[in-house]
Amino acid sequence: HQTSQREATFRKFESYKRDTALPKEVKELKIVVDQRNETIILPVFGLAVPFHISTLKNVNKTDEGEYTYLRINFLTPGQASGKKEDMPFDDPNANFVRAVTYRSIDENLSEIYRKIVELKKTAAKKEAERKEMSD
Amino acid sequence: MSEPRSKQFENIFYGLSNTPGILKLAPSGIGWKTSDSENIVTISAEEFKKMQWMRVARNYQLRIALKNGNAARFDGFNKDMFDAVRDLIRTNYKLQLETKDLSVRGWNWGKTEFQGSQLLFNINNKTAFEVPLSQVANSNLANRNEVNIEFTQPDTTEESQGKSKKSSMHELVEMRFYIPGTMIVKDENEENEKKEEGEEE
Repeated sequence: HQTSQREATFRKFESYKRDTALPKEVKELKIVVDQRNETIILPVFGLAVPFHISTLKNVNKTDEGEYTYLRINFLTPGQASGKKEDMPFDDPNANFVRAVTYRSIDENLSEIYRKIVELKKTAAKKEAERKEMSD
Repeated sequence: MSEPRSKQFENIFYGLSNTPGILKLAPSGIGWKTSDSENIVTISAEEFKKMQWMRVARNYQLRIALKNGNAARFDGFNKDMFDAVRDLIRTNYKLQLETKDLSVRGWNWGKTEFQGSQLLFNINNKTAFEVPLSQVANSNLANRNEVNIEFTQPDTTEESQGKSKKSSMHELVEMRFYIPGTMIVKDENEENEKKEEGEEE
């Protein structure tokens, strides 16, 4: 049965145990990539909101005039491309953040984009290795 | 118990402002102003309803819920200022400083909830982020399970005299939510049919 399969593959992950563990840089109200904790931290109306790399589907970068746009897509149910085993959530009936878009003239946005892609790659590789070990 | 008194805190931001100011907690109420006195905010103690303390991006926030339903937010407190703020609020306004825990779990699923003029996203009963509805420029149903919210961009006229610090900010332009199970009537029927099928087996 699909549901039990999904439960079986849900590995609990947590970006931070306590809010005191958020990195200092979040006070700049900019996107922060925390490699050590495998987390992207987004500024949302004054709060620093972590998203674990396991929730990330992909990220797109586009340039429009002086602005760079970053669109960050998250894994949710109801996505045609997502494989069942890629779904990290424990509750498919919850509400999901599916995507967020930021824009800035900050040149660092390209660097942030690169870091996110790299973090996702590293995490995917780790996950593949873990699966191989468990087989 | 100590007597009511005034105390100032420096480098405090009002709301989402980019310019820090000085916040004064006086027995009669609070006052905040930037060093150039261009921006001034005063709120009488009679307006105060509830005081909260929480971790935000710019360190810690003192949130003052007002009797008119609005809230004033002051960011930039250090963690170790908690005791001083709590004591002042207790002696000056006879209110408790409540601590509010936010979710830093890193999940993208939870529950959305409307509270006053805010849309809250809660993970395991803790708020992960809030969307002030005043910042929503446009909202539409991208498809039957997807809600798209576009945000107003910061008012650049506010910054027109100074150097435009805002432009290097990372501005949140859009947020998209996936809300399963909002298909109503048709699905209920399908479910009933499934149930009936199951019973027959």
